[in-house]
Amino acid sequence: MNDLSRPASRRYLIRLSIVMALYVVALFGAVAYFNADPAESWIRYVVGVAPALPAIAVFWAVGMYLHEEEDEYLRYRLARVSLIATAITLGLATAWGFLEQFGTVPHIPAYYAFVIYWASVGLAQVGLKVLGK
Amino acid sequence: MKNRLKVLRAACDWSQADLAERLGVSRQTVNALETGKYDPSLPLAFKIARVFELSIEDIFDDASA
Repeated sequence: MNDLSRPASRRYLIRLSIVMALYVVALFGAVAYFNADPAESWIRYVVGVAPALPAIAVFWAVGMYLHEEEDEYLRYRLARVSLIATAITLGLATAWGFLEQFGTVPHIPAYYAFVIYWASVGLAQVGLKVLGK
Repeated sequence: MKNRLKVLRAACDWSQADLAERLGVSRQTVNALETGKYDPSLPLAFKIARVFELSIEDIFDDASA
């Protein structure tokens, strides 16, 4: 995904840039909307979920990259990294859920799963490189 | 799986990047193949064989099978 000499990588970066720009717009829009203390209505749900949609679209961009990348080893490596990151994220979320349930740790908003996922992707990439896998 | 990619590539006096370009893959892929970190798919193995004008068995050794 990082080798910009590859067409699939370039397309991924373009998609990611667009999605991130949409995220900033949606986030600031939602914050401004809710700061104005809007009345109870279905619009609250639409505006409230708006920042999540570009975040979800990041996974779409990754999926498109996996679909378009012609190099089988790069696809294989990203698939492994994605699976490791998924396992770390779900594992941490599950462990935290139990700790929270028993009142041992404070509540964390669920959207942090997204942050943890991408941190895990970075960790998995470095880990596989260091281990020579 | 063991392979003779590195030796064959050196015999042609190609860099990893040269071989990567001939195969239409990334340099990382050539490196992963040479170090035995990754076994190629059948289509890529055929492509490698064609580049060196050898048979797949002349390049890859599945001694453990």
